[in-house]
Amino acid sequence: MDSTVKASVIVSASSGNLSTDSILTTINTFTHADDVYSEYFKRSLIIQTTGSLKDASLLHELRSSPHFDTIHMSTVSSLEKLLPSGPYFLQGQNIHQAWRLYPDELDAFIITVVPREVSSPTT
Amino acid sequence: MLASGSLTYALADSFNRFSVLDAMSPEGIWRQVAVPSRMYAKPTMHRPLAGARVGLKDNYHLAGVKTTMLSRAYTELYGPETESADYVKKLLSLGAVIVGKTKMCAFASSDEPTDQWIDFTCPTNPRGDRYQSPSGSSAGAAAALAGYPWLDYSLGADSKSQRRAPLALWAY
Repeated sequence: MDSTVKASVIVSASSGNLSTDSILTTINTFTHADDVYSEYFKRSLIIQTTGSLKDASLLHELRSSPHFDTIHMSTVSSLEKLLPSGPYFLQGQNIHQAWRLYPDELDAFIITVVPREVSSPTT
Repeated sequence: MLASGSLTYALADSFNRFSVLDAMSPEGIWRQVAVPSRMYAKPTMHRPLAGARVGLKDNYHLAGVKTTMLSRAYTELYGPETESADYVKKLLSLGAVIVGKTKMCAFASSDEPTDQWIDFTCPTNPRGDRYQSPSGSSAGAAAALAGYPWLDYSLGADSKSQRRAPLALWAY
């Protein structure tokens, strides 16, 4: 099993609402809205939808696009199961949240913490 | 096919217990603070603090980690907390992301930094020449909020003036 960790972006939508432009627009919003996202995440794209992509040519268009090195597809059974679009880490078949580390150079914190369980899959 | 799960609702339950973040800055000098992507959780009417990065003054208990009270003796006496303070539980239910415990005067007293801080050193005040007093007792809470654009909220506590004093020195 491939254990290399790859910075990726997920763009999730109910199928039928996606185009290369809409995907690029979504990714561009990350730049302004999120301090964790950086361009480094953009090269690997994961499209997550609720059904198979209705537009078969979209995948071909994305693969020929210079914006992405790799494209992955992910399908979930319902809208509630879609992950929020944003930066993630891909390791093998698993998707992990992306958290950013900042140095406490003001020595303001005595202990820094992370939640014990970041996410658990639904049954 | 890639594995995935529903994040939105899992976040509410799984952010209730915490572990120490064991990470140093690349030079090995500063402890690191971890913050989640802002794309994962958007504030809603029921969870107005969803995704908000919050620091807790270290006299608020947080489940899974020690409360130090910035006292060596207290730190030695008690193990990690098994339950969060009621106020912290409330913040968590509103979606807050707790990123760490901030420094304060020992037992939130009125010790004046720097020379009256005995067990642990005081934070740096990012204002001005960086050698202004960080005041107290909520010195770390004020330092972090004033100095870190990535931090959204900082909890302090004020019985006499331990929150108003540092804020007065920091607010700009």
